[in-house]
Formats: sequence, structure tokens, C-alpha cells
Amino acid sequence: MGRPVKIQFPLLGQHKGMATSKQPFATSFLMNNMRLYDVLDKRARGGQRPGLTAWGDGDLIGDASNPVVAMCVVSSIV
Amino acid sequence: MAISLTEYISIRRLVAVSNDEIWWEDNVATGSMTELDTSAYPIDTTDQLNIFEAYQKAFVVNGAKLGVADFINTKLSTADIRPNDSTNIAPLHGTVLTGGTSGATMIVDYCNAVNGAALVYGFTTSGTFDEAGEVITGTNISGDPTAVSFTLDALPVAPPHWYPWTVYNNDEATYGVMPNKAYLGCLYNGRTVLSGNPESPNNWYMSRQTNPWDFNTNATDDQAAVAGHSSDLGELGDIVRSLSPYKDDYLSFGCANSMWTLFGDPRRGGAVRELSLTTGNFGANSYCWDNENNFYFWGNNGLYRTQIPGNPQCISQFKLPRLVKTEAASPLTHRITLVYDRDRHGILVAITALATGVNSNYWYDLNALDEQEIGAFFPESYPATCGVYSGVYYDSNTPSLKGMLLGNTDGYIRVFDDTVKDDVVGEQLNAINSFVCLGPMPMSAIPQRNGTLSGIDLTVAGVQPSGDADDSNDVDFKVYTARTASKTMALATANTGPNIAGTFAGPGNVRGTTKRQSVRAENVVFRLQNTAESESWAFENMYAYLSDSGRKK
Repeated sequence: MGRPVKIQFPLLGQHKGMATSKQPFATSFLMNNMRLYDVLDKRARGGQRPGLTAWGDGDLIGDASNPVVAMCVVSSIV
Repeated sequence: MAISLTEYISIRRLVAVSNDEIWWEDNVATGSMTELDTSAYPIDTTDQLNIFEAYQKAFVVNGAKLGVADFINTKLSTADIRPNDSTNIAPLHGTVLTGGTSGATMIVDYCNAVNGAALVYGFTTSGTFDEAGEVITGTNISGDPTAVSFTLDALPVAPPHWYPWTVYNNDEATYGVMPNKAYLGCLYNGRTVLSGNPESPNNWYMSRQTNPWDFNTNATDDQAAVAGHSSDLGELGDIVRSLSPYKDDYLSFGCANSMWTLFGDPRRGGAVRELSLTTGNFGANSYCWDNENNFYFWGNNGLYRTQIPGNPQCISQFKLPRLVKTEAASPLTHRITLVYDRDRHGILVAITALATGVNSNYWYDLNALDEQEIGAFFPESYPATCGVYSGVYYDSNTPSLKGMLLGNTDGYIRVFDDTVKDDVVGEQLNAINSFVCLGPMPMSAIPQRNGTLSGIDLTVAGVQPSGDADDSNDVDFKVYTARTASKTMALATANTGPNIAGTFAGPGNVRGTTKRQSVRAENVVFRLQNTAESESWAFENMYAYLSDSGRKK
């Protein structure tokens, strides 16, 4: 076996701005759907992003062929 | 002495717009949404639409359709708001009305007519206006006459209501004129602000302070309505694309190719100054603030950050150069939404094709700042059905409903959920294709020489035996080698024909995990990924076993 070289997870995210042979420390030239904090134990070690799931009661706003184009939060006393 | 406290809270509600409909959260304990009846004054969501909160209402700005979703007022109806022209008059904004038989009282907010049939919206401060035929009276603070007296012709209606946003009494002679169209709106310093008028795209219009129904700019007092544009003196001014108020301190105008900021109130010593003459803002919702008063927006060259006052810095320029060209997003075909996630301390930059929902997104993580204080960009993609068209951080009264909400292509509102390992669309689970490329790195410690990779060892999250919720699933790996770093990157990007491939079993580090296959080359890239449904993974540590293997040939 050769010498063990520690491979760093790209905690500083994607970086495509330097020479290909000078990839900055703790960055990646290509990644997708990864984040700094993992969802399994909430540690800053790198992991798959959380999944998207319906909010609240999961009501369909309008119909499935039209996007939710705007949202806001209104505070009222009644 | 016994102390009794009665908790008095304001209720936060989510309002969402889709399919020409406005929905509101009628059960704030469960997040249940109900449609608000907009049939009397329909909106058009195929046109641009924005929405903002002011005075316990949601103001909807939809071109020629300007409307109000009112969550606070009681609606009174009368066949004649001014039955006797010589002794009566319509109530003013702020007049207190009293029911003749019920004794109920109301502070008038809005009245839609100066004479004849009218609707009066006001906050009921005591009692209940209880029946048709009740005579309502009050006294205006000014004018001649001042006596208000009218008879209800229908039962009062509790909120919410939906009605057109007009000037008070629909009386343009007294309360001014609103723009014929507007696509941008916000609340700033007690004024409702409109802009994005195609007839005058460089102008903005502000209502009187504390009165969203008064746009009369001829009044001369400090609180009166005001209109203007943001430019150097004598210049026409740039096209306004976004209104970004920050508390009551300042209002930024994001224009096509410039940024301007109004400090203070325009009627009382306020000043408009340029924020940038080299970048504009992409769109109405392409901005946000973090928790340290930093202003972020998508500008002409990527993602920008500034404090106000300050000079915007393109924070994506060094790490993701030519980002705007890469994304090829146009305001005509794409929507770019920025939302600051208070819980995760990062910003979601969502770039979505309006026609299809196809998306390209970046999670800008503020927990990982580099030496230039620039955060980390993590690219993300979602199913087209989950393309982001709108977003808001919802600080709900119900803790389980708090979070960054995303309005998606398929008419659902979604959140990121740490316990969910897929993107959920109805009953369908869409596996998250997550991967990361590590390297390129030279395989020999001596420059310009070949090296040999003789083993790889990856430890993923969790511990054996598996079964805990925080255990990582298996991770596939591929090794790409080549003479140059560029070539290894191209191979890893293409993701075909790896030199070595396999799977590391999770969780933790299973005995015998080390992969002992060897390959000789000059540069290496490791690609780790998981594309399986209902699986997730996290990195703990990784070692590659490398040795020098002589001169390159």
C-alpha cells in the first residue's frame, strides 16, 4: 500500500475559478445536491441535501398545472 | 396576590397565489389552506404578480388588477352611504362608526364610494353589527358636513375579504390617481409603494403614510403621497425591476442596469443615492437579507452582496465565474428567487424556467465562509415539478410550520425536511441524485511524475450495526485518472468509463472496506454518489493510498 493521503470533503462548496491543477482546498469543481451540514446527524462534514416535501396539510394551491407564483405572510390580530 | 395573564398574540397567516386563485391559511395550527373567493374581481396568474403585507392585509399587484386580501376588517354594506347630501357625508379613513341598535363600534379603514351604494371596511373595536336595517352613525374629523349616517342593507361580513385596491371612496379628485398598471409593490415607512408600471417603468408611487388609499401627491404635508424616479438629476431613470424595503430605514430600487436606494422618507428629508451603476437586479424577488443586514441580489454578473450604504460585491465572480452566462437566465423566460433560511443560515438561489419548471439552484451556505468572508456555493437540482416560483421564510406561530417555504411548479408549497430522503411529489418519491467530485489531485508527491493509487477507504456517517436514523446508506465511487488534471475533470464530468468503480457500504466503516485496486497515472479524481430512492448519505473521512511510480511516459 502507498502512503495514506487524506481526501478532504469540499466544505467550501463548488469552485470553478482556478487552474484545473490548482483546485482550492476544500472545494470541488463539480457537485450536486450536497450540502455542508448532513441531514443525518446535523454535522458539518458534507452530505446529501434534505428532501423536499409538502408543507402543512399538503393542500394543493389551485391546480397541479399551475405554479405557486407568490406568497407572503400576513400578521393580524383576529 | 394572584396574577392572571391573558396572552394576546397576533396571528401570522400564509397567503399563496396560484391558478388565478388566492389561498390563505385558515388553520394556523395545521397549515390548512383555503381559497379566498376572488370571483368578483379575478386575478390573472399568467401575468406577472407580486404580493406584500401591509396593515394586516395582503396587497396584490397584478398589472391592471390591484387587489386587497383583507384579514382584519368587517364589511358593512349600504344602499346609500350619503342619504342626505346636505347633512350627511361618507365616512373618512379613521372615522369611528357606531351601530344605532347594537352599539357596536368600528374604525373605518376603507370606503369604496363617496355617494350611493357603498361598502365600508373597518376594524370592529366592540360589539357586533347585528342586523340589516341598523342605522350607523359617526362624525368625520374634518369636512362639511361632518355627520355620517347610513343604513345597513345586509348583514355585516367578517374577514377575510377580497376587493379592488382603489383610492379612498374611488374619489380621484380628492385622493389622487393610482397607476393604470403596476407589477411591483411593497410597504415602506408606512407607505404602500407601487412601481413596474409599463406606461412609466422608471417611476415609483407611494401612498400617504398610514393610508394605502390616498395617492394624492398634491397635498403638501409630510405624510402625503409622493411619486418619483431614481436617477441622477436630469436623467430619465432606469427601469425598476424590484422594490426592496429594509425596515423603515431605506428602500432599494433594483433596476435593469443600476441600483438605487432611498434613505428616509421622500417627504421629509429623504435622499435617493445610487447603490451601483454597474449592475442591476434580475427581478422582483431576486433579493434577500441575511441576519446581519447584508443585502443579496442576483445582478448582471451573478450573486451580489452589500451592506447599505455600501458597494455591491459580486461574491460569485471568483468561485463561479461567468455564472450568468452559464445559467443563461433571462427575465423573460426565467424566475430567480432568493430566500434566506433562518434555520440553516444560508440562502437558496433558485433559477427556474417559467415555462417548464426546469431548474438550477444554489445553496449559498453562510456557515462556511472563506478567508474573503464569502460563503460556500452548493449546486442543487430539483424535479421540474418542484421548480421554485416563489419563496418566503414563514415564522409561523406554530413551531412545526416554521421554515423556508417554496412555491413549486405543481401548485404545492414545499419545505426542506431533514427526515425526508427524496423529493416527494404526491405519492411519488423522486430519488435525489447527489454526488461530489474530489480532486483533481496529483498521484505522486513529486511533481511531474506518475503515481499509483493502490487503495481507497471511505468512512460514512453512522455506526455498525446499521439501523439508526442517522446511519448513512451506501455510497458508490468511481475513480478517474489521466495525464492532466483537466482530463480527469472531463472524465469525471462525463461520468463514464471510470478506471475503478465500486460501492462503500454504510454506515460507518465496515471491516474490509478498503478497496485495493490499483491504477497508475498522474492525476486522479474521485466521484462519490448516491442515486437511490429513500437513501441519504454523509461523508466522515476518506483516505487514498498513493505512491510514486516513476517518470511519466
